[in-house]
Amino acid sequence: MWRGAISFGMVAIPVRMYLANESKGVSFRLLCPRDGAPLRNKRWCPVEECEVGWNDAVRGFEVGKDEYVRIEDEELDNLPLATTRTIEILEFCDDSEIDAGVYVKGAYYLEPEAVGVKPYQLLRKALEKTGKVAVGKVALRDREHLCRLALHERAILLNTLHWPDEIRDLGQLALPDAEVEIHARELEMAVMLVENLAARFDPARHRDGYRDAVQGLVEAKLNDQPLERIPSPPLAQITDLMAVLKASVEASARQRQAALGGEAEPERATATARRRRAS
Amino acid sequence: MRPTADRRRRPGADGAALPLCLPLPPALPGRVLPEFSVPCVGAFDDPDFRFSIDWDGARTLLFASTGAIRLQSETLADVSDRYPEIVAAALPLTPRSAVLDGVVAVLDPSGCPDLVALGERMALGAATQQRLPAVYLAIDLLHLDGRGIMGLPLDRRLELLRGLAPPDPRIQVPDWVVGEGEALADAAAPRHLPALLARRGSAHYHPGMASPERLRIPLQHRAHCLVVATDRVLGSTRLRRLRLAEYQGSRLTEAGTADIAETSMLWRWAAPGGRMRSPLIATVDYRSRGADGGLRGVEVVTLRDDIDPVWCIRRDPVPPPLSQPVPARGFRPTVLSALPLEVSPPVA
Repeated sequence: MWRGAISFGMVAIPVRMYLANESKGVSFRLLCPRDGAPLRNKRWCPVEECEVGWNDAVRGFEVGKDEYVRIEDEELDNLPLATTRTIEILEFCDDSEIDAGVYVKGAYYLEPEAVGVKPYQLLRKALEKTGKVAVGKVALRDREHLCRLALHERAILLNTLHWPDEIRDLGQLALPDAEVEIHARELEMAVMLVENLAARFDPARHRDGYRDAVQGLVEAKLNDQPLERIPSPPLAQITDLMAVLKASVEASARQRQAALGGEAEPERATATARRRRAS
Repeated sequence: MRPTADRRRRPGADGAALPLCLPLPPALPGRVLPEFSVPCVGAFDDPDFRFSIDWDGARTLLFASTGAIRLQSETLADVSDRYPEIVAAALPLTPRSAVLDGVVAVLDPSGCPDLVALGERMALGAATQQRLPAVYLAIDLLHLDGRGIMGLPLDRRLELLRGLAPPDPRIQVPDWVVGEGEALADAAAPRHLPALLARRGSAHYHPGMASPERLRIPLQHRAHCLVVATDRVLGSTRLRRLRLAEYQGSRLTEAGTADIAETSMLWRWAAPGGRMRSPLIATVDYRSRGADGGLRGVEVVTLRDDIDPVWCIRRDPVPPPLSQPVPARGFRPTVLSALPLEVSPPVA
């Protein structure tokens, strides 16, 4: 899909880049309800009320409500985009320094061109020996991306990364601080729950149930078979939840009763009521 | 000869045929306005009050009469077609006539009402009843056997309600707690339940008004707002910004904004063909209220049409009943202006 070179120092390694994954989400085409023809989008000018062809449309950058700055293709072509056809390595760092959970966007395999096999292998070995990953820039589809080069089995994997200003600040969230008091028994129970579900990650064990269901639906319709009804799970009972809440209320009442030295429970509520009245 | 319905004569005593004089079917009111709640500052303990969860769902009245079940929304609309499984489950009630007050909810596997799932159910309709089955959570009984019982104390109505509910998991009567509001709030808050309902055991039912004997104690920052306009989000072709409003002192005032994806199922339901439904209510979670009362950090939980817009009210909560010398007053919504001048009407 992309041909270029990994460039660092005086070294250039010619490579081809391929998508490492593909989306298999369910998507549908919209059809005409009368004749079943697939519908097409038209670029429509609401002022002149006419269709505008792909080649006639121009780009606009939205700067306010209904306010656009018009940008020509030539102006974009003249912008500095130094990383065209080049994966420009800027630094090598420990992989743990990159928070992959929020930074990683896409994944691509790099394959060496015939003339680049040796330097490609050399880079692989160097990454393996140092335990580092490379951080650089690459231009894909007219956009410049931050990227990471890391080992993946026998290949070098390129991950496009979000730019730092694209990562949202955690400050907007009301997160618990480290001062929250957690009892040792609570922690022990939480750890036990985690350990009960601990397993080696095997992606093959996980399937997209919705996609399977849609495929089953399509196949059944193609073969004129009756649709298999998925049995609905038994209805949950709200009484179960209320029983849990009531048990919690009763436990709380018992605790207070014990703290008050065995004062009769119905009296407690009245006592609270009196206290409130007095205040 | 037409038989007479003389009740003083013993039928058949003189050897004549028994008169076919059936009693008239018990009359039910056509529509009933539900009772609403007065917001309360916080949880309290009071042995006179019955504390229950204010379940996340669609407030619905269930009318049962001879061979027919009808569901009525808060807006007085007939919503029987939306929940056919509830209508079917309530049919065993029909030898008697009754009006139940309650909430239609979709439960998650733990038995907790899921408002997002209910929103999806309302938007997609009865076709999804297999995947998103609705249940009816009955919380009050207003009519029984042709007799209005709104004047009976709540405790008596709840006793009658417990004896009436059919043994079907789609019609449930959630339990309540006597007096222990603070402990119930402590138990309910970690489960993300939205609010407690505190109802006085001796209270009558007051249809169409927020009763001071029915207090809503919020456990989460949640509000119902009227969607008065929508804008496109600058720089995004996929987000729609909803402008929200609430009634304050009988005037509609801006409450804030919330974004929703144009491709979401909810928005496609709310604006079929690009034209927004009216009225449209957004149930939102928010982080806080600003000094002007406006909502900050707003997120849409669901969009709906089953809430009467006049009840999208911003009102200061009252203190708990025992700590105030004068009992709280109830209220009815009064609407002086439909839209504030600065808010443009709904646009596609």
